[in-house]
Amino acid sequence: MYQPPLRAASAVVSARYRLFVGLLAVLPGLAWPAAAQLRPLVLQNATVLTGDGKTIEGASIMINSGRITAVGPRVDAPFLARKVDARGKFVTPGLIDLHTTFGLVLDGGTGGGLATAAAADAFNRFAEDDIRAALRQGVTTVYVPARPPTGVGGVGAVVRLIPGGEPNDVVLKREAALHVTIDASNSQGPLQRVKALTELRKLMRGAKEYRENWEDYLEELKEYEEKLAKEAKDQPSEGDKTATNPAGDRKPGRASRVADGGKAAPPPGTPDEKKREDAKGEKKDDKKDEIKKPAQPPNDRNAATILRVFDGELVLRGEANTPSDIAAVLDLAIEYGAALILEGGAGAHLLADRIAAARVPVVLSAPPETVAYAAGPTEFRRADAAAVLARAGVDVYFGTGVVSAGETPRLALLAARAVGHGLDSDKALAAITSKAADLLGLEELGRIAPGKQADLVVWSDHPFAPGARVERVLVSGREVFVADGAEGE
Amino acid sequence: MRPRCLLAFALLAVAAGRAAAQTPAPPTVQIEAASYVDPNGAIVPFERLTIRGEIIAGIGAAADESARRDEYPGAVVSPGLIDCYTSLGVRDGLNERSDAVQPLLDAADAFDRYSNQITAALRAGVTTFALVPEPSNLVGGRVAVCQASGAARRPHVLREGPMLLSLSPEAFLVNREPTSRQGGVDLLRRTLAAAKAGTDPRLKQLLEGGAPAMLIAPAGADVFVGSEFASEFGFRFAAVHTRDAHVVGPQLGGKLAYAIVGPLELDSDVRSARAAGLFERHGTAVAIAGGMPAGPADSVRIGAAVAARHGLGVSAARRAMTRVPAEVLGVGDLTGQIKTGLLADLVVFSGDPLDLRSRVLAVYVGGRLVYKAGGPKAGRLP
Repeated sequence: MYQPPLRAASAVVSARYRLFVGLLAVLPGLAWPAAAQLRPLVLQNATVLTGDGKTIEGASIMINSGRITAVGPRVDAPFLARKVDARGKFVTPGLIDLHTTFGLVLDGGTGGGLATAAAADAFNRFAEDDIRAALRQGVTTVYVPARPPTGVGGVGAVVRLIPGGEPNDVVLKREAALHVTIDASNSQGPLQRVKALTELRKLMRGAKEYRENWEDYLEELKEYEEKLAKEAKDQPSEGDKTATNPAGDRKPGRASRVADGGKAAPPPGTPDEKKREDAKGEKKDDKKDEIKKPAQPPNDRNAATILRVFDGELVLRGEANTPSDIAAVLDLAIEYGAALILEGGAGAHLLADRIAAARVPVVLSAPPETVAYAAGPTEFRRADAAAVLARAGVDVYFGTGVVSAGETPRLALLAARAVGHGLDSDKALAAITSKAADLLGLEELGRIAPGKQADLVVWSDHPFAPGARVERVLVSGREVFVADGAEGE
Repeated sequence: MRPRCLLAFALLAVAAGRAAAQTPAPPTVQIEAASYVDPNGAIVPFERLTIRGEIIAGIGAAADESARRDEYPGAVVSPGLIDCYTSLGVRDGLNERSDAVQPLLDAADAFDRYSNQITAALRAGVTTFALVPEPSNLVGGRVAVCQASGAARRPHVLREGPMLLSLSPEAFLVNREPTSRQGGVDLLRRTLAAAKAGTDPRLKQLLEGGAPAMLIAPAGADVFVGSEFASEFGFRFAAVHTRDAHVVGPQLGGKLAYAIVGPLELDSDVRSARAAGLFERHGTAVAIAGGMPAGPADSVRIGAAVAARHGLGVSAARRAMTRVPAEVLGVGDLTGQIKTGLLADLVVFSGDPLDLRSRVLAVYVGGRLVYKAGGPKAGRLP
């Protein structure tokens, strides 16, 4: 057998030397863009809007391994850190759009009652131009709904805008909320709202019954198994009682299983048939002690999803765009004890006090109002809805709503417009950053603070200011967008 | 006794006569604010603006004790916003399609002065707006340029506006000529030739150098055709065009004097949003269309804000809401800028009009305060 020769001392030295030279060769590689992403990054000298109301002038932000590790006027940059001078710029957390169809492949929406349909499956992570256009507006995270035309829809997802990202990277939360729409406006008949609500209640009740059926089944199954165990223990005494049992060494339990189980009946005339007859006889005798295996109820994932709402595991998002529909959603949520987020919200300003008392957050995602008088869907839209709701004590948030393929969610301008119609500017910024993250249950997003995820946007001016442009966007510390002069920057 | 009474009477009569013979002095109003938007679209600090009657009499002049003083500390005074592409207050539409060439149609005939749509626009700062017929005819008639308020606080037609031309596919119908683009371009050429030759008097005004014509040109190709006609027959035109600005802008450049871009919404696609900046960079003056009443009352400001985030400079964006639409509509000599001698059509904003965070504090049309936010009759016209 071949034996490798023992290494001479000189050979070991030369190996170390080679290793050293190799390392020297690799070091410059750390300057390559791909590898550069792995290096710590410092954004220096910017005006930092932390997302929860604080502004820090002349601050630097230190980013390492996808997280923010330090924020402040003086930040020690480690040796290999990349430095980006952001003097005169504003840095905010990546903006969070709380209700948008941006990126969704829409094909008529999910049908009513399909609570298991997941919006995450419809998000087109390959629409890179569209994603880049959204990043250019500072949006890094979106909540995409599974909106039904009416009734119960599917589950919405939280998605990060990473061009060419892997599914696990892109989908942050696959099942974030269950959707319900109350919308009688496209109705074909006068009782449409009544019908819609009846349907919804039927589904909710159906889910409760489904749970009761399963609980009963599980109880019965437990009893059944207990009885089996008991009979197995008592088996010897019972064997003497049964005179007609030819197979004396056979356990009566097994015999009754044969009688009641799903096995095919043996052909007549065989020895088995005799056993069966005996077993039947036995059955007649032991009718009182008969142990019947309970029938398993069918699995219903729709009902199971709805039950998760009742159990507080899944949030219920109710979309309504007239005051009466909103009232109906509120009633429904109270009736079933569901944690509710109201979406759409046109007309919510007329129910502001009630919504505030119920402590229901509102995501305003209805399109802007029109000057032309119109009945139906546009009738209750108001530009100052956010301000009115906020003044009544409601937690108000923003979503860009229906955004078709090719269109761009300009969340910052939407929030700025709400400020122009009376909403406090700090509240508006928090509603698209820190508070939005909290609403989604993702506290590591939406803030610039040590420990938070490094989703950051570098702007040429305050995000609400006229002509403000996004220069750089980071998601988890990775640069996903850099302004390329395509718009005369 | 009686002669003294007679004397007193006589003196009174003379005094009354004299008073009646004198015309009352026009009221002077001074608006005090922090800054104003100058004709170049820049925000310039100043102290006050003087209005005499309907006209802007002075900018930054000294305080006049006899004048009524309207104070808006910290505010920015802008020219009234102008939406150059609307059907605001129109009854039953502007879609007369019986003949492709209808130069005598007047959009003003469909105008309902009592429409409450105009109040909504006024409160958002729009003081002048244009009623534009539908693109269904090659020659669609005259655009009507309206003031949002006037005598008896009612909107009224300020002036007859540009002639509307259209190369939109909507002008090619089945039941009357032209039925195709080929036919349409040919018919338009023949019509223009007739006007130039003087054989069709209805189109005389088009070539007389008044307001530029307004050409609805959805495709880039339509703009190029329009440009050829304009050089061949000698008229200026404003192209209503957004979609192919990345081609039209560089190729035509300054040859295209005006472009009307929009309406732009908060979620408009990037290509449309970039059109204004592209045109402006290549030497074409841009006006932002609001498209009311199909959109919100602040459509013009939203459009300008969106365009400003995609390459349109901030000063150009402010001009695109005021001065350029005035020129496009042929009323640049009357309104659209804060300049002595022009109508005092003004909006007082809490900040930069281009900033969507700014609120409308007050609106003046023809020197008269017609809206004041949060005033005693809050929201209603005084």
